[in-house]
Amino acid sequence: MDNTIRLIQQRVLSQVLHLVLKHPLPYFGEFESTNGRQPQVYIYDFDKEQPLYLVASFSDTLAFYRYDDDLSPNGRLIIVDCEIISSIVLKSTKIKSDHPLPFRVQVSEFDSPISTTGDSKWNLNDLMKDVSPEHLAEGYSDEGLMTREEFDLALKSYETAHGMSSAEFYKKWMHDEIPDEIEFNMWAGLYEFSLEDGLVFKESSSPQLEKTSFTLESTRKLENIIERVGA
Amino acid sequence: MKNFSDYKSWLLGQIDELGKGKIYKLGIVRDRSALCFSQKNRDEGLVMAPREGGFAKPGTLPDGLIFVDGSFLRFRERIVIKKDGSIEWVFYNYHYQRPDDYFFRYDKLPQPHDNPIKEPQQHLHAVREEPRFPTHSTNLVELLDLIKCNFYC
Repeated sequence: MDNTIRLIQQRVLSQVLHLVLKHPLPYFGEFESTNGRQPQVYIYDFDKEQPLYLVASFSDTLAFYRYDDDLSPNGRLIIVDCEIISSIVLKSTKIKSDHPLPFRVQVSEFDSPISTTGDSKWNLNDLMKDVSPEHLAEGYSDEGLMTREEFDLALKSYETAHGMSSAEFYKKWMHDEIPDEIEFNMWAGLYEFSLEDGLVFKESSSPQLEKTSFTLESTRKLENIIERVGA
Repeated sequence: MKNFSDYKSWLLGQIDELGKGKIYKLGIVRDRSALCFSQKNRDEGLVMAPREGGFAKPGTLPDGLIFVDGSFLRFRERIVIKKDGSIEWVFYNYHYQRPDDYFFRYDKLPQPHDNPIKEPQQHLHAVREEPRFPTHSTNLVELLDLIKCNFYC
């Protein structure tokens, strides 16, 4: 490894006191740690112009990775999203090097949480521009929204189908005693949701809302009838 | 500012577009009546189909988002709309199954698993429950496009 990188590693390692990651990065083949082991803790700098990807293993060493065409077909390291740096505490807020660096090292930006989930492709401000007026009509926004009773019935349906209470199921689920199947994933999700405070439910099903509740099949049947009548 | 209700409208619009509208002849969603939403607050909620539990019994109709050929998608997703309008998928399970029992499922765990090699936070089950293949972060609309292109075009 380049001596400059080694020097930076030492400097950074000596200054990091504590680093908390909300979600550690799962193993990906694109990474190679310097000591042959999978790093445990990660820091990223997503500066698009001078990208630096820094991967740190705090057991005994610190490994750096930077922009490299060889790392991925797209010339960028593949990073899964939703990796949120909760906090980082350093002796100093910024690391400087006395040497010309092959890449930029800047840690001061990590003082605030950084999320890589902000994919502009999935931004509602833009996506809503393509929504047709019929889907913005009054009443439509309530379609499918559950009432408290419907929510409770949904939870009850799982309990009835599997002969145990949600609490009992969830305890087993948390201990990996339940198969990883969509049925149980959904039950767990519903139960977790039920434990949260302040859920918003539709007050009651109004006739007007029921009128707007339709399936595509029923729409097509209606269209067929209209077509026949028209003919 | 956009919120969960806007997401609902957008999502329903996207699903309906698969069944009618511009690509009516390629309509693939037969029934989305099992789709339901539960809202935590203005910006956060759960989307799922179907709402009721229980394994489908032999000979009974599939449940969830139903496609024209009897395939179905059972799913749940929890989303948060951030202040800048971006959508965060906190977790999801998208289970697509065809009448011949072929299935695949994209999962995202709300938290990383203790063993991320065996169970990556975002993974794919293909035909069997194991292994879980690490994969990118996806979402319902992206998945519907994938299904449409691979099974209905």
